[in-house]
Amino acid sequence: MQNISQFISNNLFHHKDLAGYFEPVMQVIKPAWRSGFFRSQVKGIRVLSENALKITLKPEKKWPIHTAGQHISLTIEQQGRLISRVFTIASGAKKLKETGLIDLVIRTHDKGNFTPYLGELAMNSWVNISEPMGEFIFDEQSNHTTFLAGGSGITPFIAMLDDLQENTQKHIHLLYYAKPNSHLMVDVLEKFLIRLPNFSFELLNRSQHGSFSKFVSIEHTDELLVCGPEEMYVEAEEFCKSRHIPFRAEHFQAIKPTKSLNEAARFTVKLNHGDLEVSNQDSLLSEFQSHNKPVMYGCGMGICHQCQCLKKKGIVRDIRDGSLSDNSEELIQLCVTQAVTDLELEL
Amino acid sequence: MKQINFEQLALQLDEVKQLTQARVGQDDANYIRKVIVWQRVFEWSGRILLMLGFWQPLLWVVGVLSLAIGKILDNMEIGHNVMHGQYDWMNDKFINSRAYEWDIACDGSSWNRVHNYEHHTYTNIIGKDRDFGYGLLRLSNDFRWRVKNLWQFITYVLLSVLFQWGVSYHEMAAERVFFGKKKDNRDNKVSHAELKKRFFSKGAKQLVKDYVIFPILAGPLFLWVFCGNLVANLLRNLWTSTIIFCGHFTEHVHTFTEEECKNESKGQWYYRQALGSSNLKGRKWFHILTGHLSFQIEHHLFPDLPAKRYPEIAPKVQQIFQQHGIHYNTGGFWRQYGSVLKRIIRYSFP
Ligand code: FES
Repeated sequence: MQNISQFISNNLFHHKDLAGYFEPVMQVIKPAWRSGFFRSQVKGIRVLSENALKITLKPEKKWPIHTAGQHISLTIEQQGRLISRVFTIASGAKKLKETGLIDLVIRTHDKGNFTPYLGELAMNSWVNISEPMGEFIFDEQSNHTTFLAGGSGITPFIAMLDDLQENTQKHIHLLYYAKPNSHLMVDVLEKFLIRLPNFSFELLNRSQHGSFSKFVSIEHTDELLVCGPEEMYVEAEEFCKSRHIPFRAEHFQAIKPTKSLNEAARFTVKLNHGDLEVSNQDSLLSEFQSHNKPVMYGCGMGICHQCQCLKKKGIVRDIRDGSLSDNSEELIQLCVTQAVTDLELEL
Repeated sequence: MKQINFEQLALQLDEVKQLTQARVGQDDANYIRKVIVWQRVFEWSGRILLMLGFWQPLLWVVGVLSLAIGKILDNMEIGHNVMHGQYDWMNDKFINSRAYEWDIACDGSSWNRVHNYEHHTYTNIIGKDRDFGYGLLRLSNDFRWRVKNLWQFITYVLLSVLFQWGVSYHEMAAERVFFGKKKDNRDNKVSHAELKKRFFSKGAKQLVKDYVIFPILAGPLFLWVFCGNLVANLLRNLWTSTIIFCGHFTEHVHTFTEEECKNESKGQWYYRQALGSSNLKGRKWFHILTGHLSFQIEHHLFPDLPAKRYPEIAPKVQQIFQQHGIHYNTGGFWRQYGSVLKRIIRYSFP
C-alpha cells in the first residue's frame, strides 16, 4: 500500500510523500496537520514555578498510548518556523485513558530558542507530537527500586508513580535533587505518599547533601533508575557498576557552546560516513576541503545552496552575521557556517 | 566598472537585506502555504474540467487555463522560490530547497546547479554564465556573429514553445554530454551518466504523467485530456520563458567579462546583479504569476529572501541605485518585452 502511494506521489505529484503533497490543503481544515506527526491540542498551561511550566495536551485519537517513562518530540511553529524538542511525558497511561490528556513538565530558559515560546501557546491551539518513544520504563519484576531524579528529570517518575496500582506492594524510594526550593511537583509527590503504601521520597540539593550515594540503600535496591543531568548519570553509572546494581538511565541535554566563541577550538563532526575533526576558525566547507572530504559546493559565498546539508545535531555560527543556529535538525550551508559545538551532519 | 562607492553600496544593500530578513516569519510561512493551496486548487480543477469538455467545450477551455495557472504557480512562485532556499528557515519537511521537486521536465537538482550556482554567482559574465543566450542566441557583441544567428528569432520562438525541455537540456548541452567537445575549464560536478539518467527519467515521468496516465484515467475522453495537457504545458512554457527573457535580456542589460570581475568585492557583485537584470511593472496577481521574477533585480540581489518581500524592498533598492547613479531597469510588460524582441533581432545581424 505504501509502495503504491509512494509510486503515485512520485510520478503524478512529483512529491516524495502523498500526504505531504496535500498537507497545506489539509491544514486549511485541520490546523497543524502534518504528515508523519500527530496533532495535539493545548488544553492547559500552568506556571509551576518561576521557570517551570506544566502543559497539558490532548493528543488526537490515533496517538498510540504511551508507557509511563516514555518521551515525545514536541514541535511548535514559532514565527513560521517549526522547532522541536524532546520531553518526557509527566503523566501515566491511566490518565490518558481516563481523560485523553497527557502532561509535560518543562523547565523554561529565558534565553532559549524554544521554551520561552511555550508559555505563549494559546489555549486550544494545535501543536505536533511524535509517537511515544524510549525504553525507560518501570520494571514490573523489581520489588525494591530507587529512583534518582535531577531537576526536571522528575517527570518520568511522576508518570511511573501515577500508573502504579493503589495496592501495589512495590517499594520505591525517590531521591530528588534540585536547587534549594526549586523541586517541582512536590504536592503531587505528597499525594503519592498517601496513595502508595511503600513509597517514600527525599528532597535533596547538591550543596547541602552532597552525592546521592549515601542515600541509596544497597540492600533495598534491585534496580536504580536515573533521570537527570549528564553528571548525575555518569556518577550513577559508576556507582551501580561498582556495587553490581542494575541501572537504567534517561537524559536529554541541550547542547550548549562549551568554549567562548572567540576562542580557537576543535570539534568533532559526525558524518554519514566517518567522523571528522574541524576547527571553529574556518568555514565548514574549507575544513571539509582541507580534509579531502568529497563535498558539493558552488559559489562559496552563501548564494547558491550547493553546499547545503542537513544538520542533525549541534550548533553552528553563520559567518555572515555571527548568529548562532538552533540545536535541532535544520538545513545549513557549509560555506558560510562554522562549528560552535560538536556536530552531526548528513551530507 | 565605473566609479561608484561600492563599499557604501554593499553596506546599504546589506542593511536592506538584514532589516527585511528580521521581519521574515509567520506571514511568509502562511503565504507560501496559501499559494500551495491555490496551486492544488487550480491544478485539480483544471484536471477535472478538462474531462467535462465533451459536455461543454467552454469548460475545457477554462480547464486548460486553470491547469496552466496551476503549473505556472508550481514552477514560478513555489518551485523556483522554494528551490532557491527562500523558505528553508521554516524547517518544513517538504517546503525546502532540498526536498522540493517541481512539475516540469527539468530535474530540480540539475536546475539548481546551473541556475542557482552558475547563473546567480556569475550573472552575465560572458563565458561563465551559460544562461546568457543559453548558447543558442546571440544577444550581445561579446559573441562572434554566425550565419545561424540570422534565423535566431525562429530559434527563440521554438525555445519558448519547448521551454521546459530547453531548461532540462541546458546543463547537458553546456556539459556537451551528447555533442561537441568538452571544454577544459569545466569542473564537472556530476558525471555524464548521472546527467543523462536524470534527464531521461524526469522527462519520461512528465511525459507519461501528462500524456499517458491522466488521459488514460479519462477513459473515452483520452483525447480531450491529452490535448488539454498539451496546451496547458504550452501556455506555461510561453509564460515562463517570456518572463525570464524580460528579466534578463532587455535592451539595456549589461554583460561583463571575466577579467572585469576578478577579485570582485561584495559591492561590485551587487552592482553586476543590478545591471544584469530588469524588472516588470504590474499588478499583484501579475507578480505572483511571475513568481515575483518581475522583481528580477531584487531577486538577483537577494536570491534567498522570500520573493513576496521584493515589492516592499524595491523602492528602497531603487533609491539606493539612484543615489549611486546606477540605472534601475524597469518598465511595463509590453515595453520590456518589445525591447527583448528588439535585442534578439538586433543581434541576429553582425
Ligand atoms: S557554495 Fe554556494 S552556498 Fe555554499
